[in-house]
Amino acid sequence: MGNVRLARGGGWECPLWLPGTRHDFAHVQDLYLPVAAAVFAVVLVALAFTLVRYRARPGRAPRPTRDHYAVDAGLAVVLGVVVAVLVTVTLRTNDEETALARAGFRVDAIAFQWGWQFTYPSRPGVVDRSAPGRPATLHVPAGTTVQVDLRTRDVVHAFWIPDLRFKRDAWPHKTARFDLRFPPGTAAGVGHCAQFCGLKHSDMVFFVDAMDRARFATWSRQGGRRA
Amino acid sequence: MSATITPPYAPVRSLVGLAVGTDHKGVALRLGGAAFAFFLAGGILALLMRAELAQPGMQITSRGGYDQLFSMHGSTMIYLFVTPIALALGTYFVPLQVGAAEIAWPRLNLLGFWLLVLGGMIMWSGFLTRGGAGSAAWTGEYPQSAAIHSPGAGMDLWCAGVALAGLAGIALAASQIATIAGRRAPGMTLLRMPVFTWSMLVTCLMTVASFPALVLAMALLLADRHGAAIFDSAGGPAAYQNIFWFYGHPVVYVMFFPFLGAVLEVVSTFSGRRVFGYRAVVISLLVFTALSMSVWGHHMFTTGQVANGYFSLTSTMLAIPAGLEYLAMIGTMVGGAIVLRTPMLFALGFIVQFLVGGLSGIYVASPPLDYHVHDSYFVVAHFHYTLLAGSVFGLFAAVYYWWPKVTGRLLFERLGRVHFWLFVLGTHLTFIPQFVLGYEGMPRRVADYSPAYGWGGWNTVSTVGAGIVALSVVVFIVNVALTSIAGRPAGADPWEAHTLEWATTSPPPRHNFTAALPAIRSPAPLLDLREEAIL
Amino acid sequence: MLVLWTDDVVAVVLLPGAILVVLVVALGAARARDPGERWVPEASASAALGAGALALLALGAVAGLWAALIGAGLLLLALIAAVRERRG
Repeated sequence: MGNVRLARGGGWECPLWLPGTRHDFAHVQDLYLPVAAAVFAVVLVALAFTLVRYRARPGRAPRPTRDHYAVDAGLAVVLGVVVAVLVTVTLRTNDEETALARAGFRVDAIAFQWGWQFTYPSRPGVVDRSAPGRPATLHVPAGTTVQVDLRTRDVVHAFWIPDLRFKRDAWPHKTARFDLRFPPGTAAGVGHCAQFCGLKHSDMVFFVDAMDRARFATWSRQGGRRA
Repeated sequence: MSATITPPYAPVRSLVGLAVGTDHKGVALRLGGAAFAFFLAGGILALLMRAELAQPGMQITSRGGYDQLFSMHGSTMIYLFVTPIALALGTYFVPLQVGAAEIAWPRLNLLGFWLLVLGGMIMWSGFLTRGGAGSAAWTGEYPQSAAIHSPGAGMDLWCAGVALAGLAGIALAASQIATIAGRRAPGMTLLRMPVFTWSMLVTCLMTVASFPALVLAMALLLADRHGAAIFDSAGGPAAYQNIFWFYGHPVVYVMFFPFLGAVLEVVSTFSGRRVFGYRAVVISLLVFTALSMSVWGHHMFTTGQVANGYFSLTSTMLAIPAGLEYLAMIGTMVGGAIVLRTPMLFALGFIVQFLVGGLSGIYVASPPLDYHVHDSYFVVAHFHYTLLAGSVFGLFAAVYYWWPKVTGRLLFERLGRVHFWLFVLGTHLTFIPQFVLGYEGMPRRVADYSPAYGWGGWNTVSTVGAGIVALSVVVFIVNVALTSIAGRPAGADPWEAHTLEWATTSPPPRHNFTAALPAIRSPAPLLDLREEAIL
Repeated sequence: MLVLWTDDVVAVVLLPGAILVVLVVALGAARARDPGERWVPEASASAALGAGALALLALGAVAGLWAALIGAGLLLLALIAAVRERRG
């Protein structure tokens, strides 16, 4: 997870590259997609070959079925190995992805029907809140750990940032805590509520402003008014 | 199959007979007919949804209206169409395939039919209320479905309707289990039952094991909505979801195994060979069933309330029995003399397309991947591939295959082919764009989206695809209508099939078999007979 | 095995509960094997009535206690009718 320290006032030191949810997603998908494609291709080819080779022709009778349970057992073993590999990679990556850092830039996110509110414990007085027709903007430093505490005021919502390949549900009476790292260079992105929550579910959008060091310092200095 | 035929009433063929007749074949046909009517109704809802989503902006309905559309679309398709029609296939054919004269508990069976019809009507009556029909998704998402967030009778009617539909499933399934347990013809041991009957057995076992959870969830939800503080605690919403999804995952296998069994029968018949690896099929069906009861948490990966690791492991393990079933389907064709009649076309469609659904299912069984695509159009595409492009193709394979047995006439081949190819084109056009849309960030259950995202193009393609699917269904209905006027008589066994239902007339007489049954020495008694005759 | 992973009571109880249900059903079905002859009904008004009664019971949640009570009463009637139908 690298050495990250947040100095008061908004500066930080970070290594050149940080892992994060997008990286974890890509790591798993880089295994799953080729495996899925390979399985699909094998079945398609086997099916196509069979349909051509064993099409009914005059004078050809079907060969009586002979069971070869060794083939079934063999396939079960092969699939078992594939499953073991997939699950191992998945579980290891999931552990990394959901691990919580000891320190980071904290965000308190509250979902409600039908908008978002973001406050920042280290920046008291700064509130980003949805208003009708004007989505809230989540202000975060890029390239460092952002710790989100997610709550809801009413029904279940979900906090989803597609660019980060990550979402988490907000549940009544519970606080969901997760870490995000926004790649440097992501100027702005979009977030959605992904859990159906009633009438204006499709309007629960928020913007993401992942700021580089300089802009983040400006934003911090100016109490969140302009960045 | 020995049964004393002593009816307390004379055979009833009137309108009254339609209401109270207990002949399992009549009940199955009425159930299938009701389910198909719900398919059309749910399909119209889908077309309205797709018309709304084709372009940004609300053109057809309001946000509240759209919420009712998608909630009732999902509810209708799952509770009122695919589940009942899957069970109906068994209601008709399990007694025939095991050589019984009648289903084991005919009154309970009839009760199930009526519970389904009444439950569906009650659910749909929600549209007539002031607040509209239930609109908290087919899952009754809590606390969205609580009284405070979904006031109004529509939601209550939805809960009541769903509970009745759940009870219906249990009644229908119990009758089939009892038939398999106690009504098999002499010589038909469990390991000589056809694969379709095995698939119905595991389906019905899953039904009786998991549907009570649905009934419980609905009863508790109704109580919660009327003042009892059941789910209104810190652990309440999670408890609801656990109970619901404990039903919610097995039900998707209830909506899959009967069609898998039917496809195996079709493949076996149209390849002219017995099923490859019969015992492996039986074992993998049983393993699949048992495993499917312990994966429900994978619907809750993003909640942070369940053990993601455990459920990811069990869900991914499903690939093993699934792979064995695929081996059986293809292995049966190898060495055969394959005839590509319409039932076989639909069976092949099922094999290819369900695989897309299954592989995307393994994908979403991985939490790091699911954290992105859960509750997006990606997962909508996943389950429509398994259910529509998969199971419903298997359903049509079963329908075209067994139509001549049930009605005595063959459906037209050429129209069947048109239906098939339109359906293939339609489903891919509808759902491939949805994989893309979900991956790019389009959430599900949204009535509208901003033009800034650029999703209009793919959404329009998807809507066109939905229209083509609708057209294919029209072709099927035309085929049915024309066949009933001028269809070719089928005879007892037009396909040279293997199992006992083909050993009687088309349609079968009241008590299924009038002549003596052939000797039963394998799951394919008619094939045995034919091979002996050659020797 | 789930017990090792979580202490969510509901989740852990559901699966063994379902296994119990299936065992009961299987046992019941196995004992239901009867040697040969039985009466096979042609029609069953009690089944249709029973379904209607259950529907009214469920509607009681929406319409009010009166519907549930009528439903319960009809259900009783349906059960009696079913018993009489079985006796032939």
